[in-house]
Amino acid sequence: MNIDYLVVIIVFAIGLYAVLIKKNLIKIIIGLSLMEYSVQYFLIATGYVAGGSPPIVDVPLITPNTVVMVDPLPQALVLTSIVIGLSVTALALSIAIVLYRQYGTLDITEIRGLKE
Amino acid sequence: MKRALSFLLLGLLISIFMVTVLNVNTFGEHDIGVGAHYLDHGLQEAGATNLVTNIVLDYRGYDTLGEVTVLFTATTGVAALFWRERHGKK
Amino acid sequence: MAKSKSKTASGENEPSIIVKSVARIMFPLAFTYGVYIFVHGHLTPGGGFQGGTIIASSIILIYLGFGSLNIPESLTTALESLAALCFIGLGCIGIFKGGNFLWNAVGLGEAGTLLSAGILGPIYVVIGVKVGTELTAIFNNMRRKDHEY
Repeated sequence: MNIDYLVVIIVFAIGLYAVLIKKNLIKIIIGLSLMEYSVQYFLIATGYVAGGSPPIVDVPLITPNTVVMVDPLPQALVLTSIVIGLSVTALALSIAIVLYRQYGTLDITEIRGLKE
Repeated sequence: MKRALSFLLLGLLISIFMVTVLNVNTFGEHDIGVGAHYLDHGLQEAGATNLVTNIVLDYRGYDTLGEVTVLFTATTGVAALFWRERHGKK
Repeated sequence: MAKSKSKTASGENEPSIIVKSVARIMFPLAFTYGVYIFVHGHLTPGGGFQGGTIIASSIILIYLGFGSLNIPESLTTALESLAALCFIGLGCIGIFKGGNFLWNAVGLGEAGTLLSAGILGPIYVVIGVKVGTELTAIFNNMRRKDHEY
């Protein structure tokens, strides 16, 4: 029960609440982004070694043999995940703009083009 | 009625998520697997002093190629969604 | 707090004088900082994606400060496609020298200097330019046609 994992759960809960219950389209997209950021932060937080330093080597003094370094592998993979989250947000916002210009409203209970 | 059901579903999903997150490991005690090889031999095999750059471009270079492709596809998709309005209706 | 938006003769909303002068001062500083981050990507924390985002945000600052700026769209798309082709070309160096794709065929050099680590430095420069122009192109597409912001 640590502060880092509690923050992950709280931010994910806020994002899931926004996606399930809110009716404005922009708020749903913000909730989707919040869920993605919380999971990316969780992946980095599991790689922490107590008392570790960032994985940058300075050749005489700071090498992996003299200091304890944190795990560099989750950091490299989350870098890709952040860019993919950006792409999803950009495309979702473009669809929201085109929907607004077509229907005149951003309320998801009034956009029912496929049902009729 | 619908709102009560939505809140019940939200509570159920968050409780499952909480049980999973809090039992992965204790914070700070991580068992480094293949990352230990990247830390020890990264400077000799790839040559960059930033060890994360080493992983992103030398050991896992194909993932970076795929990510550059995803970003390119997203830009093309945004341009395609706004094409009709910006270049006239032909 | 000068929040007045004066309407010009054509009816456009022009940004106030504070926004214009601050954007004019901050643009070269932010651009140089972004270039520094992706050129030194193999020595200090950072790299191509982070530096490209900073470059894109400095150009968007110019877009928001001067409401009717128009960078030609053909220039940004040409730079972006050229950077993608350079990435593939740098990867094909390994094939010509008898190894795999994306193999570090050029000599490694001395660790800690700017010209170290083979092809890793130029690849980060190419990725930085690509990401910067791509995010600018995404923002440019979302503006309205008569370019009020």
